[in-house]
Amino acid sequence: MANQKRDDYLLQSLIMGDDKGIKEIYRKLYPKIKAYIVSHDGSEDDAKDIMQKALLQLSARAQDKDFRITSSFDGYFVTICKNLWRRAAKLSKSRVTNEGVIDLVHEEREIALAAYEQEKWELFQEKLLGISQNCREVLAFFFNKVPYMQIAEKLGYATENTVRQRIFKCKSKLKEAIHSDARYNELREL
Amino acid sequence: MNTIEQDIEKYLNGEMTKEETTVFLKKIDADSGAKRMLELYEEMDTVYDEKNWELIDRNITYKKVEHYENFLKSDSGEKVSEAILKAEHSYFEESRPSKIKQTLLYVGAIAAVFIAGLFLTNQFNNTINGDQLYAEYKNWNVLPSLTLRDGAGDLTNIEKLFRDKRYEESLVLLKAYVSDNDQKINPQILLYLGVTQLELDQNEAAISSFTKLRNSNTLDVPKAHWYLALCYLKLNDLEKAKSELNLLIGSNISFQQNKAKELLEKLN
Repeated sequence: MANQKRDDYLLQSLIMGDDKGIKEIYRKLYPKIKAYIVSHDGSEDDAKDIMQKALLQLSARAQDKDFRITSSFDGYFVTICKNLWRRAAKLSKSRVTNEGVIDLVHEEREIALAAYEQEKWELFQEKLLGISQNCREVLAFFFNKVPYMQIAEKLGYATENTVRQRIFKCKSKLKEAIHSDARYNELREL
Repeated sequence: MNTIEQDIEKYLNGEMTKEETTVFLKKIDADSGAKRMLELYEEMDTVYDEKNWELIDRNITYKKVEHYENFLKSDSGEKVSEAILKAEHSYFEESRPSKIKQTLLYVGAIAAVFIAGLFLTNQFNNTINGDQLYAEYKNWNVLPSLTLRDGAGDLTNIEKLFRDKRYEESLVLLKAYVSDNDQKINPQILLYLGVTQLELDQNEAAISSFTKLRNSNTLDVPKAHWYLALCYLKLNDLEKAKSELNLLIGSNISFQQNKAKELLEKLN
């Protein structure tokens, strides 16, 4: 099956609830997901759980007729799983440290919340790609908490203050790009 | 660039004085546009941090969340859910070895046990592999974050090195931090110190760090039981591991209770 056809078939299986197609997704992607989770402090059961949640999340989102995957199905699905694992770590950390009480909610609600967060994450990533290469570089360092001094050294800025100004401008541009996108406002609708 | 954006930046960087913060927050409260801008800046800080994840406020019901939830609860959603379970079941059944292969495996396993039995007379009581259970149950993601917003402090560096699995460098900073702050026990630092020592196979030192935490007067004492149990598992001292797990379960704190019970069952 040609790649695009195969990807369409897999997505369609998830939309319609066709177990044969979904099994194909397991065959193709579960070993990758398991390898990732196990190498990131998870167990095989965690991998199974993440796989199920990712499939349900994607099915819920793909019911929208405008839903499109712009990369390959495989790459997209693996990204969802990686993000779900990051999310699980954050949830567990927040519960352990009591940083704002995170109540347990029923499973459908939890998957719906994760789907929403993933959708927002994708929009933010798309907007980041839309700004200049230089801004992306400086912001990648900033958002990943690299100290200003090190950013100056890495990117050849004369002073820490120049870095601060650059970050300020880039963040403002990025904020504008997100803010003016209709999908951001749609996400915020109550 | 307007002043409000500059103020937001200052606020998020923790560069405002107490008085400035109070004035700023009042200003934000009175201006819905500025409030939205601050929210977006905060969202950006979390969403773009590769080691973080933005959990949305569960008290707000966004239309989209409701929409997805309604689908998942609908007949169509249930149909998808059932299909996923069916596919998963069929996939894992298929991945199992065939009956002939399974029989051969059993025969092989029985033979192996029989042969091993000829040589191992003292090990019958210790068929559980503590080291394997240690690998299965260690999950450093549950360690609380040490990172502060400024991103330049020692604690931030320690956590970054730790998350990058650069344990030797992280240990140097941790020891320096402990020695600089000798008078005060920081439970989070002790947790990072012990786990780093475990990763570097300094098992006895790890036990000593977690014991220090266990003997402290902090709220994190019960957590020390979990990490001590992991240490003993790694060293295959299963009785001591069980004893620590029992202490954790008896403490009734919500930390790793299910995992502790599950692990104890396996050890029993």
